[in-house]
Amino acid sequence: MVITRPNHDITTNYLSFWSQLVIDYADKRSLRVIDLCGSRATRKEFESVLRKRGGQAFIFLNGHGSAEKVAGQNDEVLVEVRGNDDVFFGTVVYARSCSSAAALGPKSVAKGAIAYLGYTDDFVFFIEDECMTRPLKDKTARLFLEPSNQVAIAILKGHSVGEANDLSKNMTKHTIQTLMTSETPKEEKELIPYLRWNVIHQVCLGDQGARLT
Amino acid sequence: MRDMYNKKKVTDEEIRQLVVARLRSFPSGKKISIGSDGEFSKEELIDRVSKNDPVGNKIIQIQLSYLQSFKEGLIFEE
Amino acid sequence: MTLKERFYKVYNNLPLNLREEVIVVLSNEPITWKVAKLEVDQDTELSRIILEKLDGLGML
Repeated sequence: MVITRPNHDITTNYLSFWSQLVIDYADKRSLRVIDLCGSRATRKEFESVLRKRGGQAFIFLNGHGSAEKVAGQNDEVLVEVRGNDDVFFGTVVYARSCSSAAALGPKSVAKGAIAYLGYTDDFVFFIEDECMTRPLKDKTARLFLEPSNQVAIAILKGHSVGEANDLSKNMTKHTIQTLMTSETPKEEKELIPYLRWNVIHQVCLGDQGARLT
Repeated sequence: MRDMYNKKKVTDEEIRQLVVARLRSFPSGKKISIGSDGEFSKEELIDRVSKNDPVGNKIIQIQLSYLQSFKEGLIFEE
Repeated sequence: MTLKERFYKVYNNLPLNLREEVIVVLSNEPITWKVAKLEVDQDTELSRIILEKLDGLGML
């Protein structure tokens, strides 16, 4: 697995911390991980690692993005349409980044990516003010980031990309259903529109049956 | 965003008022991260919605989409 | 189906925890699903306005 983990602002720092759980899982399974964390999440390093990946077939991107690009540290563009979108040839990609599945995803698949999982609009999540310096203690952020971690973990476990996508979405749907019941404090139901937003914009493009070998 | 509702029956201002009213129930002590735009508290979101800026419009989109999902029970099937 | 019938169809299927959510604002007054139902049950003039607004919002 190649993973990018910029951490230059609150949002990317949260993604970086929560991604550590995926790295920990990969480590437990003795899977090779190339961790482009913080200042290593640059285009130069990213392209270099992908050129030399030698069998690394799963790319997990974290960071800000748009329909046509995904960024790394300090919002430096790592990959973009009409730039280096062929860099994912032969790989499975999960981009935990806003909107990139709207344009970069389809283009990447057209240029040889096996599959591209991501979001066709903004990826949103809540943060508890008192947990900003301890993201992994944030129980509200967990409701959003644990299901998205599930995409990567399920792929590493050997599920097909289609299954990984479904497992992740079902986790969020289950949370939504719990929040809709009468036993949930009313304040927490305010999360539902935002959880739902991520689910309806989460997609899996390319070969649904692909899995890591 | 204007395609999301019937502008003959509902004005943009009415939509903003609705979303602002709904945001008043936004959880205390929390912020929302919206893409590359940053993290926003309840008060900041209300301000953005009232000013009709891109972040405000995104919140309106999210809320309208959610409200519309109850028609035909979509919220249970998505 | 009339707007009133469509309202009941949506309302009846609405989780209990969500029935106190604001769904429309009229004359600066927030109106929840429950308040809307009270008006709709009584066929008030306000209910006609509420139903038109909900329809315009794509909620019915």
